[in-house]
Amino acid sequence: MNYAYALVLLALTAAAGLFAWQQHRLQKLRASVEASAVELQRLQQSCALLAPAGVVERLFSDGLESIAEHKVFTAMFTDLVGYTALAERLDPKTLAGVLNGYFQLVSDSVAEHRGRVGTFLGDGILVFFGALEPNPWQCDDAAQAALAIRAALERYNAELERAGLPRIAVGVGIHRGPGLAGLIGSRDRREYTVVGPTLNLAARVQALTREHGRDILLTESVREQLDPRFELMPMPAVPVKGIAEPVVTYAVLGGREGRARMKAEG
Amino acid sequence: MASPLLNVSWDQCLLEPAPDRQAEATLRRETGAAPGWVRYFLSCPWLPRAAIRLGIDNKLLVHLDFPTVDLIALVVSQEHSCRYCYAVTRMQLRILGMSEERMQQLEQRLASGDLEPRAAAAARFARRMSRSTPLVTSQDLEPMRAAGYGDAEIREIAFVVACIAFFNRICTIPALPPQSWEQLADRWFARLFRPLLARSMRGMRKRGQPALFARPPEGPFAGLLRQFEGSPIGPVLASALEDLWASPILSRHCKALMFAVVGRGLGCERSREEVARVLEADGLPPVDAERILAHLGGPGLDADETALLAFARDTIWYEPIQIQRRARELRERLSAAQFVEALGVVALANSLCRLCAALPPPP
Repeated sequence: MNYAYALVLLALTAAAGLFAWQQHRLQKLRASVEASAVELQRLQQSCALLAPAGVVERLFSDGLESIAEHKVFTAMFTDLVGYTALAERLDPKTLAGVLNGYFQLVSDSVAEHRGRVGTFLGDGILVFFGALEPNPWQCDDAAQAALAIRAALERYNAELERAGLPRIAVGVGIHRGPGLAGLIGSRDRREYTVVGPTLNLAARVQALTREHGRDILLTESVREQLDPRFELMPMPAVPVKGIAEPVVTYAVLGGREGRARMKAEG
Repeated sequence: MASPLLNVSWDQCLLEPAPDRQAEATLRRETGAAPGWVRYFLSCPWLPRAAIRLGIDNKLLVHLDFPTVDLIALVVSQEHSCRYCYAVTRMQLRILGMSEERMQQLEQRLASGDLEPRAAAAARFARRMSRSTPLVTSQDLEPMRAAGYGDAEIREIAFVVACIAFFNRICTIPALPPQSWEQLADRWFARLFRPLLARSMRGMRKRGQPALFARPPEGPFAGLLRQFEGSPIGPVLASALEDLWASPILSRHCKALMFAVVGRGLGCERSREEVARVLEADGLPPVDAERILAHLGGPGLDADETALLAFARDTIWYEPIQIQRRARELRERLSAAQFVEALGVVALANSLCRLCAALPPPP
């Protein structure tokens, strides 16, 4: 009889031990699943710093090769005017602070108008509209973003002046045309960008801002698609490197709201 | 651990639930139900009515099995970062007997694409259709056919995606509070009464029976509706659309323009053609309509209508916190009824335009 009790006790102890062991394993498994999920999320967040968010999502779900398409898009190129002089006047830490403030204001203005920052090129920023998602309003968005950069820069310059730092100026060039949008690069390193002459012309138009003494210039192909309520001023056609015909550009003076307000006020 | 969408930033709710006994009784009489969430939308009667009738558990699906429906609901809600709908689907699966471990495994398999071929094909299509960058085409249906889905099942899959996209928008845009759903399955009473709750939930999930239109569909999207001939989905979509156009809260031409903006933004030619007819019938010449749609503003539009068109455009692709911020700005300039109707219009427009693209008309 005692043996039977002992056996039952032994069986119960073994069952309890097995249960505890299983619970322990389950807990470990749960912890490991949670850790993987957190790690995956952290990885996605880190990747989002390196490429536009939509690209990261597609990369995770569809794979590397899926991201390459011919698109008609609008490229915006912004560049800091007088960076070399600024770099000579400021110590590296202050210069980095000023630059980060400028990058942030451009990124925020662009995001507000559905643009995607493609690349930071030194003190220049390459922005795309309609490269990742279809965007029939891409030219209006680009012009609005450029005006938002202008307004944000005004506020930033006031901050810089209060801190005893020099004001900064930005030149913005906008052009619309075809290009190959995708993850481009070597086997070891790729980035989401757009390749093609559209990009080169946007950069050249940005360079023309100094020649024309205007902060925002856009090309004829943008003007054709632009809301006529934007206030534009035609600039004289000038030859640019790599383009056969002289390039006609338009300075953006004001937004459509301004024109509508002026009209309402008579 | 709960929903992986827990970290998605979510604003304070933009709508006040407004209990209205009479309206709820009417709704119950018309649809057979008046769940608590309808109180957010009662100021625009057609929206709660359409939302209840479009409930995918509600006798709409004849061919598709519910596990596939749940999978699609998870995928689409994840794509739209809809914490509310994701939490509801997750809670349903937990109550129906899926353990937290199995739930997490399913979520991991969804993230890595490690699913059995039929489920993988449906999930991939659901992701493509809800993302729509670019729009789905008939070619996107081929992997599902290869995985063994028939045409009727594919139509239902596309409808489920559109339906979840609709719910995602009416929940995410006004930031309906997801917290109670996110915690519900782990509450003591839910654990205690899980078998009972599961039983009642299974009882509510009813398969549909073939149904006929009360009268042949007319007006915008009639072609799309005819593609659901014989399915209970067709009459439900038709009545939602009829109610939307008949509602007097926002003007008919403003609603048509909002539809057109969504269609244009998505690049859906068929939707543009469907809505163009409404605009023309409403007295807006095609040239003026084109001018308005090309730049989301123009002659003949007041400030509220211009804001509504910009809002319609914002609802095509969005981050929850951004669209909630923009919706708050819109809410401040409109009445509750106008805001709720605008919500319903953009939600239905996004769903139908995506559905139009996914189900091209038969040759």
